[in-house]
Amino acid sequence: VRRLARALRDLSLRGKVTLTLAAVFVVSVATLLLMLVPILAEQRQRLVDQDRRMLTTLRRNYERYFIYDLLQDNRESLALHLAELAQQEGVLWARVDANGLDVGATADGEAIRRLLGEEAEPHLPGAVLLVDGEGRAELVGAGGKPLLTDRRVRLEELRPAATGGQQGDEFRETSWGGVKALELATTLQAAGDSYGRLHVLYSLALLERSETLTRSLFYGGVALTFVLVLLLLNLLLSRIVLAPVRRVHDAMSLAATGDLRVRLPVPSRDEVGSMAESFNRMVGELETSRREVEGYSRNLEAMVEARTAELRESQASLLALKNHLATVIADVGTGVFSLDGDGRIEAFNERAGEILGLPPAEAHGRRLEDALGDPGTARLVEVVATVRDGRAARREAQVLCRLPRGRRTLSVVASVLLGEGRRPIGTVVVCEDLTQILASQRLEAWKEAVERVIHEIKNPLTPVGLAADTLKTAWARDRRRFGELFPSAIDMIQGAVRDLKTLIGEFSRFSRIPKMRPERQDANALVLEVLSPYSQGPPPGIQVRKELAPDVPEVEADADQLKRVLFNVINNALEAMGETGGELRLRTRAEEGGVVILVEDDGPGVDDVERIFEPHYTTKVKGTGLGLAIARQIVEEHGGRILAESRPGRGTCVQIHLPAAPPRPVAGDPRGKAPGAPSPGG
Amino acid sequence: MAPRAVALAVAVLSLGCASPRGGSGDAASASDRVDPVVLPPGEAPTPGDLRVAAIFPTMGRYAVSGMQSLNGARLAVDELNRAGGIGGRRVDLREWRTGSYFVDAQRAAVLAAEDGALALVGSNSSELSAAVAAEAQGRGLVQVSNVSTAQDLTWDPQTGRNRSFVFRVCSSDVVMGALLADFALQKLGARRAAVLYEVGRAYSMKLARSFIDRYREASGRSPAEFFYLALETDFRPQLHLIADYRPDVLFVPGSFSDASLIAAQATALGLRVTLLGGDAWSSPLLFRRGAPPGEAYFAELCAPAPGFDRRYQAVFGEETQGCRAILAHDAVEVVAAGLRALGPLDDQALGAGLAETRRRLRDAVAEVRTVGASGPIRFDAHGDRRQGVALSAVETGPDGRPVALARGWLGER
Repeated sequence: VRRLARALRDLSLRGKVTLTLAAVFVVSVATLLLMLVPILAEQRQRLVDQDRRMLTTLRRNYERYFIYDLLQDNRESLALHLAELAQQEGVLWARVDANGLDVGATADGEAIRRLLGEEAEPHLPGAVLLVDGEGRAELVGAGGKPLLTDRRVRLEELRPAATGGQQGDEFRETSWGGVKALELATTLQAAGDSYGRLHVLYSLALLERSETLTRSLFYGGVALTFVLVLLLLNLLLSRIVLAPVRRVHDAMSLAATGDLRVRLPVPSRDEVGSMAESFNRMVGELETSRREVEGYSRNLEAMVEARTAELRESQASLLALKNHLATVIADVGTGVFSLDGDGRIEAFNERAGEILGLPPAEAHGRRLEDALGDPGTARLVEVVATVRDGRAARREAQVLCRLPRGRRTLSVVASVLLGEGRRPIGTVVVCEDLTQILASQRLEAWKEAVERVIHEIKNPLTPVGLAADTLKTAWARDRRRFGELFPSAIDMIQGAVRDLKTLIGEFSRFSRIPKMRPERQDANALVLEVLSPYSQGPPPGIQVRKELAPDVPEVEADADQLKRVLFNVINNALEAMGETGGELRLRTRAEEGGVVILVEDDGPGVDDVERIFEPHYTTKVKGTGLGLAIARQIVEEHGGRILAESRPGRGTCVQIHLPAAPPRPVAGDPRGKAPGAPSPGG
Repeated sequence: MAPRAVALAVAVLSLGCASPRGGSGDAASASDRVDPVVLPPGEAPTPGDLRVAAIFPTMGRYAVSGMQSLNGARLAVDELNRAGGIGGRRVDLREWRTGSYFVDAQRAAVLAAEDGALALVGSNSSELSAAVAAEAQGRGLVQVSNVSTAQDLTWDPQTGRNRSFVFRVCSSDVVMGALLADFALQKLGARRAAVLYEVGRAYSMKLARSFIDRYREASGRSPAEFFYLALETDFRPQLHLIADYRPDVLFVPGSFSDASLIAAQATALGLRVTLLGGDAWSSPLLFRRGAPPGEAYFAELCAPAPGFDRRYQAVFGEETQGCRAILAHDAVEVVAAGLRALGPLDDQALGAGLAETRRRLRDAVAEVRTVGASGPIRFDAHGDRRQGVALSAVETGPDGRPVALARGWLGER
């Protein structure tokens, strides 16, 4: 049952429709048959009734002959009349049974053959077998002509069950010799008197045949109609429903394979039509979408191609750049190395190896401090650690390191290496050995200083010489004049000597920066100490303002030297504001890894602000130009930086960045006595 | 007969009603289609014998009466031959046994003529005799019928046709009807008479007509006419009408079976009337199923002849019925008388001169004056026997059965 159900479910639509139609039709036909069976039965009954009427008519017509024959006691005539009756179409057997006369007759060839056997055969058809009450039989031809006489037949076969002496025609269906028959039994009557009994067997073969024919025709017709109607309905359904559905199906299949140009005709306004419309709309939309998608896709492809090309290009250029960079880095005269996120050395070029006295092969994969090993490189490690630990994105510093090649001053720039999403992935360190440069710079500076000294000395000597000449001349020529000239000449000479002394003092201070003795200091305290003389009595037109952040970390510094730096910078600022006046602002601020001290003025500003830290650069009428150079040297020796920003007309801001002192050890740590004290001058 | 029956059956089926074969009917086409039923004589003719053909229906409905006729003829021939034949020649009765249909008789007549018969005897029913008469007249040989009463067998007053070769040893029904009318008026004193006849049956109609005509002619009153169709079995409607008419005499010119039915039904209805009948009543079965409602008389074609009846009984072991046998005997006698009148016949007269002999025989027969078993015989100008009819009265016999008793003679004797 389940398999059947599944088979039914898997049947095609047409199959289902056909099956449904067939079922409906079968049920209809069955109903029709149920309705028609009684009709057929009634039809049969009507035919039987017709045969009855026929028999009744036959009886009525022959009855008179029989009665007359009986009245006349005329057996011959009776036999002839019976023979005639027996020869009527459909009559199988006719018999009259009266007192003294009992004659039966059959003209049915089959019956005669059956009763008489082969010898009757030559006389058939047309002969009539007459049988009397005792079974004596005689075969007669036309007009009673005897053909075979004195035969005996088995009477039982010829005796239809005779009913009693009832009045009127009695009918019943029986069978005789295998043939269905209608039996009439009646009494021959005239005016109420009975003369004998008449039996007639009437063959129902014709009726049966016609019934069979009717039934066959009927069933055949029904079957034919069934088939035709089914075919027609199927055809109609195919045309009306299935074909459109199939078209839709085919179109869908076609659409499913990707052909979206397919469209369905909309033949009607019914469900199929609306389905076709929906399908067309759907496919149309799909096609539009696909076209768009294809457009996008083509665009995208082009874009991807372009991007890929670009990428390839940029990859190539990156590769080139990388190669280039690698080459550059490898060959550059600057030491470059990088650390990964864990602080292990990744890249390490030859020059870095040379500067740090560390073969690149040994450097790879090790932590920087481990690779360097010597505590004399702590400053370098410290600077790199500042960036690596994320305390600063970039750190520039000049550090003095004790390296295998000796004490070297290194310029170190450490930068965060940013990866994807600007996340730090490492540290790049660029270092340069400044020792040589610094040495040559000092030499140059020295030569310049000597030239300046000579120049500075020569300048005051000219008025001195001039004054001496004037005095000598006056002395020789006009003593009164001498007297007049003398005081001013002496003043001039003394002024020149004083200037010379100052000059010499300056130089000697520059050349002899005392040895740095760093201690823990509070930057704010230093600032306040330096500012105190100005705060109490600032120069005319100058206001002093200080904004000191309270949370600045301690710095490790030589207080005297740092104060000297601050004096130089402040003096510079005051001098800048000398003519116009203004506000001097001192601020401290904590910054990553240290503290910054800012000194701002409202002065006219400097054009070439970068050069103000060079020795002998000055914008002032007075001054040696060494103050800021000295300041720079001191700050850098503290591991800090000094920077200046200036815009003409808006004043100058000098920033002094100092590293914070290492955290105070819980127990006393002789950190203060750490090596690395810079050697003076150079 | 079979094809005809089939044809009829087809007609019956198509019309929805059966129409069994009647006395008359589709005669025109029937001769073409019906195979005549004729049993020829059992032996070949003996040369030199005087061949007399007997054509009687021994098959079919007239089988019994035909057989009696044939026996009567046999008896006559037997007597002739035992008496030495005619002119030294033996008389050979050529028996042509036919069916009861007119074509059978006609066919037999043709065959008998070709067989070399000098004369024909038969047949015993008007319709069969008429068929034979047509051939006898056409072929020029004498026919002597025993009991065919139809007037037009020998001559037809309507058309004026006269069959010169055809004779009968009985009176015609016209004579019979007139004599019965006279009897009713004169002997029975009937004031009111009614006639109940069968429409469509020549015998019955002609007999009725002659009765009515004579009755009217003699009395100036017309009998009431009633009729029935062939094979009627229920006469009560007519009998009711007849009872209302209250006749003294009811003439029933039908068969004994009609008369038996009518008598029984009239009695049952309480009708009081005297029944009159023709020679067709002559049957031992008359009134067998019921007594008549009053007196009953009928005409017979012959007077009782106890001597002949005994001879017949002795030879054939059965009783004679009516006048068929005796008149058949006398028909042969007439022929024999004719032959005797011709004188000795040579072989040429029976061979090449047969036709001439036959013609001479006719003339001889027309002039015959002889006495047969039924009495004196002579013919009128039309070949009818010149005589009246015997009268029989039906009475109840000692055994309670009706019995016909001779009551004299009507008309010429």
